[in-house]
Parts: sequence; C-alpha cells; structure tokens
Amino acid sequence: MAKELSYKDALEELEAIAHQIENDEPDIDELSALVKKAKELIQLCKKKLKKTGSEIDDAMKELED
Amino acid sequence: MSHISLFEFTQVVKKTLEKNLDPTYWVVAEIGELRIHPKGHCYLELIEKQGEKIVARMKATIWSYTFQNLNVWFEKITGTSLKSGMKILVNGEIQFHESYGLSLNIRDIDANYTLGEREKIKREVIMRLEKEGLIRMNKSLELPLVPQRIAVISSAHSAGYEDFSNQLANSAYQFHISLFAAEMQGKDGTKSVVEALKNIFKEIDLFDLVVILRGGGAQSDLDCFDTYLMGKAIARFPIPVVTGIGHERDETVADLVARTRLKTPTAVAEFLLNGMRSYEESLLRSYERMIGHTQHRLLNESNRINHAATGIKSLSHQLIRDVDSLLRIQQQHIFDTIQHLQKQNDTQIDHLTGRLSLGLKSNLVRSQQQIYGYEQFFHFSDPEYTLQRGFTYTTIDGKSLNKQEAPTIGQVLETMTLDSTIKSKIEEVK
Repeated sequence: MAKELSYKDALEELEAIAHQIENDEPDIDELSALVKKAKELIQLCKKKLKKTGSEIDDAMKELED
Repeated sequence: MSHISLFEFTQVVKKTLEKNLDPTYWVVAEIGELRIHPKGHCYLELIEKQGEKIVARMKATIWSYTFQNLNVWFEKITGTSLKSGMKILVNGEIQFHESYGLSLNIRDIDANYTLGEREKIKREVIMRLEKEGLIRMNKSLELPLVPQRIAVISSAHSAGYEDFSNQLANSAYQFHISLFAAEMQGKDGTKSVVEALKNIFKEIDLFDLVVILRGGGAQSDLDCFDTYLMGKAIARFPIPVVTGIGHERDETVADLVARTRLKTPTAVAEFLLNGMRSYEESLLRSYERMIGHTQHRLLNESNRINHAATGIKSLSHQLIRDVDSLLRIQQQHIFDTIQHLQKQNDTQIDHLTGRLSLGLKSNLVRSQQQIYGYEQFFHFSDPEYTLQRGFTYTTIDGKSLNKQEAPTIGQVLETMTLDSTIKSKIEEVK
C-alpha cells in the first residue's frame, strides 16, 4: 500500500483540483471524478486535522496537569 | 752553850704565841684539802695562792661539835658544803700543840663571804662570756617546733632523770631519749658534762635538743655549773640546751647561757609536753582553718561554677533561639523565593501554554476553515448538487454545449436530470 499522503500534499492536490475545475471546464464525468477525488482528500485532511486537534488537546491537558 | 730541850722550846713558842697573838683572827684562805674524820671532826689545809703558786699554807681544824652546826648553816646560805678550792673567811684561834705543831682552830665561818666570793667569780665568768660574745649564743637558737629527739645529760640513775623519762614515756607523745651519763657535781662535774656535750656533738644530726638534768640529792655542789668552761660549752652548742638542774638558789652560769632554763627535770618534761601539746593544738587549729577555708573555697567555686553553668545554659538557649529564628527567616525566605520563582515559572508556562494552545488552535481553525472552504467549493462543484437543485446538464454527442460548434437542427440533445436522461431533437436554432 502506498504511503499515506501528507496534509501539505493533500492540500496542494486539492488546490490543483480546484484550479483544474475552475479553468479547464471539465465535462461532467471528469468533474464527478475530480469532485470524488477532492472529497476523499478533504476526508483525509479532516481526519488529520481531527487527529491533530485531539493530540493538541491531550498535550494541553498534560501541560495543565 | 746554854740550851733547852725540845719540849721546853715548844713551851716557849707556845707562851710567846699566847702572849703576842689576839685571841682570835678573821682569816681569808682557800681550802686546799678537806677531810672529815669518822668522828665528825673536819681537818683542812688552808692555802693562799698568788697565781698558781702557793705562798702560804696552814693546817686547820673544825671540831666535830662546831662542824655539825657550821656545816648545816653554811650549806643553807651558800647552797654548797665546804670543799677544796673554796675561798672562806674563818674565825679561829691559833693553837700550838707540842706534837702536832701549829694549827688554826676554826670557831666560825662567814658564809656570806664565800657566797660573795663565789658571786664574784661567777660575775667574772659571766663578764668573760659576755665579752667573748658567747653568752647569748645558745639563747639565740630557735627552739625546734617539735623536739622529739632528745639528748639527756644526767647521772644515770638519778631520781630527776627517772622522773623526766617516766613523764615523757607516759605521755601521749613519742620521744626518743638518749642518755649521756655524766658526773653532775663535784670538781669533775664540769669536765664530765663538757665531755658529754662533745659526745652529743659527734652525733649532732640525731638530736633536736639537749637537756641537762640534775635532780634529787643534796642542794650542794653546783659550782661545776658556774665555771667558764661549762658556760662556754653550753653557749656554743649548736642545738638548743635546756637546763633542769634542780636547785632553788639563783641561776647558775649554765642556766644563764642555756636556751631555756627550768627549775627541775619534771619542769623540763612538762615544758616539752606543753610544746608538743601547743604544736598539736596549732596543727588542729590549722587543720580546722584549712577545712574551713577549703569548704568556703569549695562553696565559692561551686557557686561560681553553678553561676557560670546557668549563664552558659541561658546563653546557649538564647543562641540556639537566635540561630533557630535566623534559620526560620532564611528558610521562609528561600521558601518564598522558590514559590515566587515557581509562580513566575508557572505563569510563564501558563502563558506559553496559552500561547501555544492558542497558536495551535488558530492554526488548526485556519486549516479547518481552509478545508471547509474546499469542501464548500467542491460541494457546489459537484454536478450531482446542480442536478439536485433542478438544473440539467445537456450534451450533444457526449460533448458539453459550450464546447460545441453551433448546434444544428436535427442534432440530438441529451439532457441529464437527477434521475433521468432525456433525448430531444433540435428543431430550431436561433
């Protein structure tokens, strides 16, 4: 299995997809594929953010104790 | 030549003497010899000396009856009996016996003359001793504090010596008595006593004191204690001499030069015992004083120590209290400092933590917002969303209309709705 994409790469890819959608006028199938891909990337980013968020909370909690 | 017989001649002499001489004469003479007849008569030889030379000599007699009275009286006054060497003033008559010749029949003796004469001699002795610086020599010696080793000069079996020894022996004190026996009277008295002193001198280190005793017996014949030699020997003796010669009349030369003069041997013993007693008492007093002083001193010292101890104790306590409070202050200070530092650190950490948390969170929020932006964007980009809102998507030959060349009549439009695909023919293009 390929290594999980980093947040930064995912973000760059999202930006690229957005750019592609805005400028390249993809047809509907292409658009669907791009949106599907983007949604996956967003899910990944959200997951990472959520994980990071709880990590920060844990760390803060530890500091407070 | 006319002549007479010896007897006739003695008669002439006798008569001539009786005719020309006074009935009696007072004559001064020295007794050359003296002997007492068993019947009580006293036969003397009177002499007169010039220096050592005899210039006159005469026989004398005191008849028994006279002698008995005279002798007692004489002794009573002079303290001594008649003896050779003595100067006397006698009253007597010349008797001339045809067979025995010339002799002085003594009727009376002036004892006071002898006494005076003896006093004169004694004075001369004393003056000589004084002149030679001897008279106070023995007197200037310190009496030993506790004379225990005593050399006694006495005749061995005299009552005086016995009394003396017994008295000391029966006392509570210890004495070491050594007897140096000597003749204590008569013409050999001086020589004998001086000899005894010489013998004592040979062992001088063994003795503290010399005692000369002469007790009991007749009160006569003390002249040997008045001689220059006796006086000199006693005076020059290096340890104190005590006399107890035992007589009632005035001092002899021996008494005069001795360190201490006492009347009788018993008095000497008492003197020694008194010395011991007073020494013992002074020892006891010293001892008591010492005890007193010591107790006093001990008490003082004890008080001082107690005082010092109390002082030290209170000082120590004070010191401990001081140090303790100092420690407490420092401890508090350190504690405060630590707390302050801790608080400072805590604040700093809190601050940093806050900043960190804030930074992280804002970062996260920004990211989330970014993602949300994308999410919105892609949500609205999703063709499905467009279809859901009732829009349709139309293609010609699978191509989007805006990518088409101008559509022509008859071409088929394929319209996609949310749940269907509609095909329609173009009838008109304007």
